[in-house]
Amino acid sequence: MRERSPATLTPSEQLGQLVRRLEQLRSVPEGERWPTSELPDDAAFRDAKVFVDRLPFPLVALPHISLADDGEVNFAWDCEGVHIDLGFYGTGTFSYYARGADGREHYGDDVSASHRLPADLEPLLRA
Amino acid sequence: MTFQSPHLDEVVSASPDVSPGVVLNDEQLLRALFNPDHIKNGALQVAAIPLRDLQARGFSVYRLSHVTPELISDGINRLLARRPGGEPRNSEGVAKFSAGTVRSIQVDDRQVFVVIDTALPDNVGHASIYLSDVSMPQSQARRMREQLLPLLQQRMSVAEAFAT
Repeated sequence: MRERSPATLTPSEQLGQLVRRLEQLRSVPEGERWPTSELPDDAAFRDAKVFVDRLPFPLVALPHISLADDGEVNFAWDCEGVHIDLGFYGTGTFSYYARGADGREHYGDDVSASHRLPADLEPLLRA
Repeated sequence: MTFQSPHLDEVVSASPDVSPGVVLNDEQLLRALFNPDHIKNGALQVAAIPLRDLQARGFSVYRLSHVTPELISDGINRLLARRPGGEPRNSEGVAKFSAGTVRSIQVDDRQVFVVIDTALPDNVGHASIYLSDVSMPQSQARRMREQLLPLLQQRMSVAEAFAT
């Protein structure tokens, strides 16, 4: 089946895609990971899932979710002039660097994954 | 995250016992990249440069003039033997850039990265890239790694890297 463009997905379909992506990444067997990696622990995936549940759907675009070998679950958006680099290390918090289409930069550290999104981040994500 | 600060003095080797010398600006550096770990659907992933590498562990690179193509190819083949779940892993070759290019990256008129000789007994051509200020907040480190990513965009085979 051909994959539909994120822009044509309903909010619940967008949420479903992100949840499935997290589940796929979480299922990577340890023996198939990088030999020296510190891949994300359960807490990092839990925080990422909590964050996904709080995203302002419909999103302007779906993030690319990937794992860094230092234990980060990373969310990256690059579309329509918006750049966001945001990630979780299983501390119950996340950090981010974002740049809007207007060039303004936004920073956040130790932001609770379970609270409302920062006021400067939400407008960049919402469709 | 809190880390013990790594060796950040570019004019002193971090591994004097096995070092071939500190990393010079005109030295070419190589970094092996893989799909889907670092590159997905042709696009380089931000997470190809782990923050903890830049702030504590060191972002590992090969010093072209102190390694052989065989050493790099052996390293790539060892990693290819491991596959991320359900997806084949493929080599995307190596990115090639000079130490001077890394050191010339500036933000707010300050050098962002340092390149340190971190020679290993079985790989004397090992070097590491760090943020010049490893204590900066993670959000700032994310901004800085964005400056390093373009250097990984131009990729070539190991053979090409040694031929040019």
